[in-house]
Amino acid sequence: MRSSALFAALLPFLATTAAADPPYTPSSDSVVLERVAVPRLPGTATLSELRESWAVQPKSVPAALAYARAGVELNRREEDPRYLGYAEAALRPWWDRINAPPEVTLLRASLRLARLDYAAAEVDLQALIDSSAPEAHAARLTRATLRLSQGDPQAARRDCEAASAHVSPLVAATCISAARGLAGDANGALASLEEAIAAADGVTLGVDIAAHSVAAELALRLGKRDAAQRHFDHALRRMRAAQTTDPGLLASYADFLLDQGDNASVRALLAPYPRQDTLLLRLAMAMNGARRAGDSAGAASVDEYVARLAQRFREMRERNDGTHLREQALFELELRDNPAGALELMKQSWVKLREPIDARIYLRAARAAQQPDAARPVLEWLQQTKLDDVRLASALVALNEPPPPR
Amino acid sequence: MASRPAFRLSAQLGLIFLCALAGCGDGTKQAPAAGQVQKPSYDRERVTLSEAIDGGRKLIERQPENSLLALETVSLYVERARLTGNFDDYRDAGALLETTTARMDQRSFPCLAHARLDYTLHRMQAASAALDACPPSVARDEVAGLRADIAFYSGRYAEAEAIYRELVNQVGTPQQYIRLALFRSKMGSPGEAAALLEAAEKRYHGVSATMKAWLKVRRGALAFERGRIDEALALYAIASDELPGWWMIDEHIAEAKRISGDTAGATALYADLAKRTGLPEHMDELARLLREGNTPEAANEWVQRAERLYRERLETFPEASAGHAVEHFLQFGAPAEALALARRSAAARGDGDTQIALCAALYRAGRAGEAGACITRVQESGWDTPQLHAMAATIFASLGRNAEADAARAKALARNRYAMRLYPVTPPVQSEMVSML
Repeated sequence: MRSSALFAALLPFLATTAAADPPYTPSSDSVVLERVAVPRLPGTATLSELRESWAVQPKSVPAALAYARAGVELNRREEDPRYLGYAEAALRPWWDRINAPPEVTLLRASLRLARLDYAAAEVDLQALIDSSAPEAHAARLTRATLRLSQGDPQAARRDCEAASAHVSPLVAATCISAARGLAGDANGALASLEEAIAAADGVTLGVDIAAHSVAAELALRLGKRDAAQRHFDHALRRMRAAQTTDPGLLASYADFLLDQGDNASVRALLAPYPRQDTLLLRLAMAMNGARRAGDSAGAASVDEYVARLAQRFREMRERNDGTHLREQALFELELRDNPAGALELMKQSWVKLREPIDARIYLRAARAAQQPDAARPVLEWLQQTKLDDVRLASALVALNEPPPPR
Repeated sequence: MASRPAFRLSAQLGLIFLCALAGCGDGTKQAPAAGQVQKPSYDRERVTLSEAIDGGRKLIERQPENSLLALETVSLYVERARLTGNFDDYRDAGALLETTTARMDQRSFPCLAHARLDYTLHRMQAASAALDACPPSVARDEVAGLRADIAFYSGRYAEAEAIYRELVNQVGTPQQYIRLALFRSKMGSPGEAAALLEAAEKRYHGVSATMKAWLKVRRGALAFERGRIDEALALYAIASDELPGWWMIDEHIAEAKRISGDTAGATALYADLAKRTGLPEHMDELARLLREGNTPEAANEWVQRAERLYRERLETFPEASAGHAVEHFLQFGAPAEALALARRSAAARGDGDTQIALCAALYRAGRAGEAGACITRVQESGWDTPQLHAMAATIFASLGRNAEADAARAKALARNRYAMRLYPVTPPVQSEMVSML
């Protein structure tokens, strides 16, 4: 499903070249560090209400699940790992239990994926798939998403097809099309998905945005920018109407605009989202691009954003948070002029995540670092999957050329 | 099955009535003399009803032309089915009614017996047709009451309410108060419904322990639906004093225990119920709790047993059992099958609860847009229960209709502070990696 977008928040984080400033210590307890809005999801209780219910009955599965799910959902929107911590705390009584309740096992698998503990997540998902629990079908779809992010379209498609009888036609079509698109049939995949989108009569917001995000990505692989724009427009319209935030969608659209050099639109798009790392990075890239083009209006902001991102990447390392490796590579490549560092980060990232976006960043980093041979794993993967992507094709052509001047 | 009781008599009196119809001789069991009456219990009621039915069967063999005797036995079957939850009695009641009707003169077609049974088995069209065939001599109040019930469960609320109110004002028997109470409880007036049930209780001067217990259970259930768990438990306890051992009371107590956080107590009670009654609804509840416990795999056996029973019921009573089976398949089965059953159930009954189940099935099947339209229709129909609003909150939130979701949640909580926990909606199957909201 919205794999590239989703896994933007799940990337591993290893060594970073960010400077190590000493941690900030407030001068007194009265210093306000941050004003945090009360997190709330429409139609449900506030996070604090859910936490109170859970605290009263910490071993109640429904109470724990409600609190944990809200944490996972808020993390999706805010890209704030504190919420994942809340969710993990709620599931703590069942964290190491082999025979955990099926709903807990499914959510636990998602949390483990978010922490890049793929082995443990796979055990959870396989246990559900092997069971007669109704959660088996959601587990298959979750594993399909994982397989897509791992760059294994055949395995993903097997899971999509096995689950398709139990899901809505659009969910099935999105899953299968994403797999087909990775396996060299982007054209057929896009046609099928657009047919399913047209036939779908009201699906959940999440499914709708996921379907259009995948369709936009498929269209971009085929060089169909107008079609991609249409799908992005629809998804963004739905997102805004629901007053929600989908960092994956916003990041994908920002990348689309950045590819066209439309820095102004990226700035307008992402200005409201400085809290999300993936979006702040792209905002900084757009401002940096504008500065390079001679627009000095946001020059000071670029430096501020770069410093802020460096701080955030450092904080992640300090708390052993293994996410955002892809973003950090982009940061090193685009904002710190450190292609060698970016390439190292992408090599490490490639072990776990192999999406088209990873391949593109990897190829760009290899070219910029003037180490085209380092891109061999990407070339082998492209050969293996037969992935068809006009953006990758041009990156491949440019691989052995000298890097563009900065 | 329709939940309203029609306990005309105690089981003991039912037997006496049969004897009166058949002219029993000395060898027939007599009612115990005053002072010898034993304390009622579920087992005693069930045994007495069974003896009455067996006695009725024997009398029918001797007097096959005595249609009154046969019709009384039909109603005893229905009464026992309501007491025990055993669907087999509906089948036997139906068979006996058909045989009896075939023997009777066409002009004396037992329209009320047919209408009552058809209504109970959710065959609304057949029930209406039976009432249409009633001669003018048949009790008009009975016909009107059943017509109102059919209107209610067909979604024609204004028509139903007008008749119910007229029956309360003109007839004023407990049965009429109960009818109006059940109606008002679904229309956003649980306080009025509680008062009407109390009024029904005060006007009931019969001796049926089942009826007395049922009234207490209904009052308790109404309190429970308002989030008043302690009040509900107190009423269930009184019901249990009236008719100790009745599973219907215990299932309500188990539900209250579950929502109060007494998971162990609820699990033990549902386990006992599942063994005692063999009803798939209890097996489902037990399975739900087991899935949340230390041995989730222990739920599998109960899920499979419940599914087998639902499938058997669906074969025999397609209209009456579809609604019950929807809940099972929504939680444990394939979404498409749950939706097919919900559609079938909604085709038979148009009341809010049945429509809500259809909305839930649409949502589960990934048709959130249709589910949203469905729940809006129910909201606009006048139906007003915490379950409706809790479900609307979830469905609207999934569609990104935030203001409506928040408004629906506020309504649900205003009606029952536990509403969002009491009425969870099974989400559509999708990847955990995709936002549900």
